[in-house]
Amino acid sequence: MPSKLPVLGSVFSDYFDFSTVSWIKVWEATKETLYMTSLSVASVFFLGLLLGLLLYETQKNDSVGALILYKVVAFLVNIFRSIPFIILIVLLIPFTKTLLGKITGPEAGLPALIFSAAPFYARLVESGFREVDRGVVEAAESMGASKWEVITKVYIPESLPNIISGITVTAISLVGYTAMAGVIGAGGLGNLAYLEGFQRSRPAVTLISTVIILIIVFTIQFIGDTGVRKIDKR
Amino acid sequence: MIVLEGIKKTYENKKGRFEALKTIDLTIKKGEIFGFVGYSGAGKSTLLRLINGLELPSQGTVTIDNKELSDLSKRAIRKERQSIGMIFQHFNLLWSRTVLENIMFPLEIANVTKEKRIKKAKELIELVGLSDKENAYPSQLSGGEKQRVGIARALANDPKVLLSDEATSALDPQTTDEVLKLLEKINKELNVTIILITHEMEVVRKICHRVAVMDSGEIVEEGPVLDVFKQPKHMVTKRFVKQDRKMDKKEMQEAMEELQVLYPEGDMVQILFQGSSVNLPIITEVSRETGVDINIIQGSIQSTHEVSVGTLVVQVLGAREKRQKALELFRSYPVEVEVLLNAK
Repeated sequence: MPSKLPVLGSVFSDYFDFSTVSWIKVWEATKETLYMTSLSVASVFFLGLLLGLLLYETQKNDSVGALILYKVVAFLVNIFRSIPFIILIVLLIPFTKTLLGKITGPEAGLPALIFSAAPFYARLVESGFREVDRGVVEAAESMGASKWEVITKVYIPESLPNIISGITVTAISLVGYTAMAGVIGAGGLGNLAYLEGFQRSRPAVTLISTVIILIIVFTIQFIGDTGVRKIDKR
Repeated sequence: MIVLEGIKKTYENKKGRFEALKTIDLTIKKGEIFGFVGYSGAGKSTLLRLINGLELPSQGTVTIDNKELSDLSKRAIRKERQSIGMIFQHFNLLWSRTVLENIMFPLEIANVTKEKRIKKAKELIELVGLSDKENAYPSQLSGGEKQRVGIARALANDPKVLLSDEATSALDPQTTDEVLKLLEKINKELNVTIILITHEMEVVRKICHRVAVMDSGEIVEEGPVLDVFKQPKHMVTKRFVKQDRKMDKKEMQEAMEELQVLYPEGDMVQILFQGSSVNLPIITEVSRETGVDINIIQGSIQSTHEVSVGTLVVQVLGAREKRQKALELFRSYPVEVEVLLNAK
């Protein structure tokens, strides 16, 4: 046992050996992670909102067309939500290649990120809409509001806290996904931690990557929580 | 003027058919306060929603000011709804909007310019007496205040008709009175026709001009409120009227039994009087003329929107012929007399 202690000590000190850290690479990787996260969050937000709306509207409508559309969308949403992210990336490689002409770099991570998170967010949006008071919708209809007005003036504003907290949760898991995508070659902090930190045995780089990712996550959580608190007047 | 002709409404689903409304024919006059009263499931809500086209009849027609609703396109019905305000039991305000913004909501839908929206909303806030609350959110208001916002919102597009869906059912008695007074004021000052549904006969008595009593999808009795109150015909109506009289039946029964033991020779008589007859010294006159003694057991006065209606339960004591005479004398006054219990 005595021989193990010095080893542990050296591991510990390795984590804080910042001389091995290339700060330029860290900065580059952080920018890539932020780039992937913000673009995917923005796309997931709009796509998820649309899908969620589609799910909600087709489900309460009792025409045959709506029912079929609902079944199809719900099926696809469930499929994409269930595929483990790491497999989805690999699965989508041919698609990404056709779409972007390459399979590495931050852009190449986007299709998989969006495909996996949008269905998840769509479900959150749908359940948010379902929580909107039916009576308020009826009140709007009694004033002569059209379907579109009911969506934009009642459903969205009345479920906004759910929409915001939903995108916060989604954004946080997207940060995690970008790290995974990074390992496969999309760049970013996950890539840095794996290539520079693990493969070159520089634990300090891994530690730095971890800390930066935590900071990003906490920032997103803080912005989300503050936003919800500000708008929620219930 | 609103005319309902041969209305039927049937809901169909996998489990079967449900007749919510069976043959409704009714005319509601301009400027009146018309009440529908009935227990839950009687079809009142469905009927109310036929008037603003939120529900369409399976059969029959709804005509508002000579415009038949079923003839109109969806867009035209929406346009028509802007001239029909609606208030709700649970207020149905948008929590995300302030009082002012809630009232501006229907004006946005009617495409009124922002400047006019604010001006109109502020006028209405004044009308319903919430001037200091215009920037409050619904969650900061009491039930009565929320309903005032609901009323202001329903009036935003200067409607000709106001539909009230159990608007006071979630409020305490005092707030109910305040809201009813406000509705009465709106009816008088703005000449808005008000159609309300309720399960509280008290609401009908206080502000309605005419009433229709509903039971299992049918109108079982209809007429001026006073008539229906004085002489309820249908069983359901009688139950509603009795419930409103708030005579504690059990308590009165006990009192009557007690008195019967004490004065076995007495008749128990209920006298219903209204308006001008309230002022007549009926009891003393009958007592003096016929020589009977009269025990007062219970009395109450209720006001309708035009006159007061009173109920008096008395015990008439004396010899048989005297009591007979007293009863005849009571009946000669403009009151209604009912013998509840004969002497033993």
